[in-house]
Amino acid sequence: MLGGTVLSVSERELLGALRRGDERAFTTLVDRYGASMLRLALIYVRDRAVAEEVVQEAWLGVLRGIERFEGRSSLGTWLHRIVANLAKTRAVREARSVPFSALAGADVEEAGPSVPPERFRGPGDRWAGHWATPPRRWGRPDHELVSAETRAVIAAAIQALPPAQQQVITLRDVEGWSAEEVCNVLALSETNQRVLLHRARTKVRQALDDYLTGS
Amino acid sequence: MSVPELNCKELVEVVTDYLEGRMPAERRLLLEEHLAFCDWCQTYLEQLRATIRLTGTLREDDIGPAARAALLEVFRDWKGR
Amino acid sequence: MEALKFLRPGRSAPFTGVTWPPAGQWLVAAAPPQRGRAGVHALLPDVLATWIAEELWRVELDGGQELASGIVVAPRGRLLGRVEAWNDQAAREFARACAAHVRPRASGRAAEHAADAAATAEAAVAGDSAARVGYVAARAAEAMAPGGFTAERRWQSRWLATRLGVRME
Repeated sequence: MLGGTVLSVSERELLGALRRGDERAFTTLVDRYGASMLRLALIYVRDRAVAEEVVQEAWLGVLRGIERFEGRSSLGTWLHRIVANLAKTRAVREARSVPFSALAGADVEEAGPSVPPERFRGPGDRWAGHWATPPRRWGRPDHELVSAETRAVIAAAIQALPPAQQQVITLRDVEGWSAEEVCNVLALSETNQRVLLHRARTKVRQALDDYLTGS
Repeated sequence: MSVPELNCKELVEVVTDYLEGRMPAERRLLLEEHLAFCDWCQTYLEQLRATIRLTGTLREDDIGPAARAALLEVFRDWKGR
Repeated sequence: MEALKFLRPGRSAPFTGVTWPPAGQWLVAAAPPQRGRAGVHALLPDVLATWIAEELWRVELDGGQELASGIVVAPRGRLLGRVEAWNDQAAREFARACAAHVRPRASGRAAEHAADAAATAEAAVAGDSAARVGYVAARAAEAMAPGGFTAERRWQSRWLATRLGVRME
């Protein structure tokens, strides 16, 4: 049986059923994790058809490895690690791939402040370091902000990010993973993960700001 | 100024550390003392929080029927092996 | 122990956005209080000026560890009642008082700060601009002499405590 496992009771039951060839257990897993596995693959391979192949390969790998899985990580983490590894390998082979250096994930790609310095009063000023052009209010409540248009703006902004930032913000803020899970799957230090997340969020906020204030 | 403070320019650089709960206590206090009077930074922080909430709504939980059917095939092949 | 708390409209905590329950009901912190981390926070009157927001409440903390910053942290707390004396009018009086307290003494850069404070004081409201006037006036005091900021903030908090009828420890 599974000793030293982190799996919940329901996960253990699901795993057991899957090992017995229970089709419902499989579709439950697919429904629970399939979409996010596809999004993860897309970060590496960019092409949807290739990403879907990678995900299929991943599920096959899951089924073949199901006996050996010891439950030392959660099911979700295990599934996503398999996808990430396969997607990375595939991306390197593919012509239209993410640059290899970006796959390393650990690099902090940009230097310098995340908000342009000219937005703040300069060193000689009485109020040095305070906003020179303060953020404009968006002037509408949360429920009015949720729309197909704003989602499209955010999606486009995420797509335009350097790959490592895109990976982190997708897993943290779209998928809702914890910092620890993201660090595990992307092999990032906690600090690097946070720096990437910070730069990504800053840019996405700016894109939303440009859209909402009509710039 | 000889009194320590954290200004707007510094705040926008550390705001993620703040939201992640990864600031040392003394720095967190300075940040909140600044937020207490700086409505501009309050706006910025609230917009960042709204951005995070909106980003979370991008999540679609469905892979689509064709992909699902293809995976079922994979499963049945494996099971049949 | 009893303390004070500034909240945004609707009993909303300014930094976490958490809504406090109505007076009398306990708010429990998510995790045991550590210095500057999770825990229910409240103020002592000595630091009132630094934290002003729309609503001022008297609070009761269950236990409570006093931090150097004039803030107290406890595992749980509950609102006791509004300090009704704190409103936009009181905020404007506060702002005017802050500006007036530094202006006569100020010259050079301090005078520029003090002029900023005075200019904004007239339209100050409890929501934000009153807080900024207090800060600007304290910066004016610092420009006059090192340590002036902290001293001015203490003066401002005493002014508030007196004006609002809140006991100063």
